[in-house]
Amino acid sequence: MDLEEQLRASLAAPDPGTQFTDAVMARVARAGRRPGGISASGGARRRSRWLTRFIFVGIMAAAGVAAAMLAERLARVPEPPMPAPVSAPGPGVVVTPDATSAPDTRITAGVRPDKPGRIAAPAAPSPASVPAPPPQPVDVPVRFTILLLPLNQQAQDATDKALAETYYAAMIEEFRKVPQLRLLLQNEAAASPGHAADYVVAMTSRDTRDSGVVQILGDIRSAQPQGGYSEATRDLVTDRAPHYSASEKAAEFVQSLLQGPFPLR
Amino acid sequence: MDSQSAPSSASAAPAPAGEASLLQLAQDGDREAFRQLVIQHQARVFGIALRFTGQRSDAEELAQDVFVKLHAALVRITSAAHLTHWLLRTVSHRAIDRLRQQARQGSRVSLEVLGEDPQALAPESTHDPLAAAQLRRLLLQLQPDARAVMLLRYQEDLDPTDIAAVLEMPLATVKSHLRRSLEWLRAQCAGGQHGS
Repeated sequence: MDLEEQLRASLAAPDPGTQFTDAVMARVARAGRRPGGISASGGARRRSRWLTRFIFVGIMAAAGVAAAMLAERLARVPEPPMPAPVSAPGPGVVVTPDATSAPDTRITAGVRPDKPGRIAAPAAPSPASVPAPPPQPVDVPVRFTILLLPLNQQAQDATDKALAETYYAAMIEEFRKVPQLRLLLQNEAAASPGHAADYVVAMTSRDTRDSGVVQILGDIRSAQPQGGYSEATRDLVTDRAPHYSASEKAAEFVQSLLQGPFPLR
Repeated sequence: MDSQSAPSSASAAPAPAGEASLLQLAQDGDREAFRQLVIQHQARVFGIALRFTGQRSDAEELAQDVFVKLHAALVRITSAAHLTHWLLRTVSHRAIDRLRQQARQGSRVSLEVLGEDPQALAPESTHDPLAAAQLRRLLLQLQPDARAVMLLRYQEDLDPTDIAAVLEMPLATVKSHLRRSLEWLRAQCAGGQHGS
């Protein structure tokens, strides 16, 4: 017999029997698979892995969004304004030249001029067009009482009298806007005689019929520790048709008294 | 060749007429249909595994692994011929891998064990049973690739082209393995006859 025929005869495939078939089917059943599908346990593991990845990616995305929002919010917070000094002005104080009132340091305190004789412009706002913070109330550590005497109307012209009354009312209103200041009118002072005033302010409208101008003065008196009074007089209005309102001028006057240099302190 | 690609003509025998429907049913999840497919192909798969390993227990384990893997890959089988090709390819590669792993570990198949295991022997044909057993022992001494070629050629009756496709081997290499293995077997058989 030829070798190749002998090989074919000797290599006839033996049937492993039904036990082999049963063993295969048992293993397939244990695997719990559908044909070509995903086993239940395998599917659960894959779903678990995907769920874990999804949760992780979600947490990372949420953290990124939160960080971006926080950064944006921090970028929008304006820096707190530098408190204006209350005491004597430092070298950075630029006094507004005003012949009729005390020097006004409200907006120039702490700002150094870039050139002598000129007031440095405040820093330009950022491109984010952040609205300028509202003006903060000046922190005045001292509290004092001002007694405002009744308007002394020496003016004879009716128009001048009316103008003086307007400025007097505006002065009362501006004094009462200051929380560190207690304003007493004369009738109130009479009602509480035991309360002493630190300053006495008197407003007088002069009779200027011959000069052709109106003149309203503010007299400030302060009791000195060594006795006596310190007095100062300020011109409030010298123009019948001023380019500022009574409220604006009264506010300027009050601020000049509060922030100084205050001649009575 | 990829396991998903259907063979050109790599089938040892024409697929039974009902095998295509069995395959379809099995792909749809019919366990009984898959069982029938196992019954139809288990002798061929187990036979190759047995000729490779030389031990029935190892052969059963290897063949079972192949069918379990088939069940997992059943949806990728496109035809009955593809199924046969897939089984032959998978069992051959797994058997070759196992032999190479055993060779690296230094373990070798004991011819004496094979000879003493009556179940390891195939049902003897009407020819000389001693000569058949000797041939099987000699086949176990071939290198894994050459053994795979000889098994596919003389057990599955594949032509060299199909063997090359199943084993992903050049056709010339297949023919070379066939020629050298036959020459070596002839020499061994002649020497044995002379020596006995």
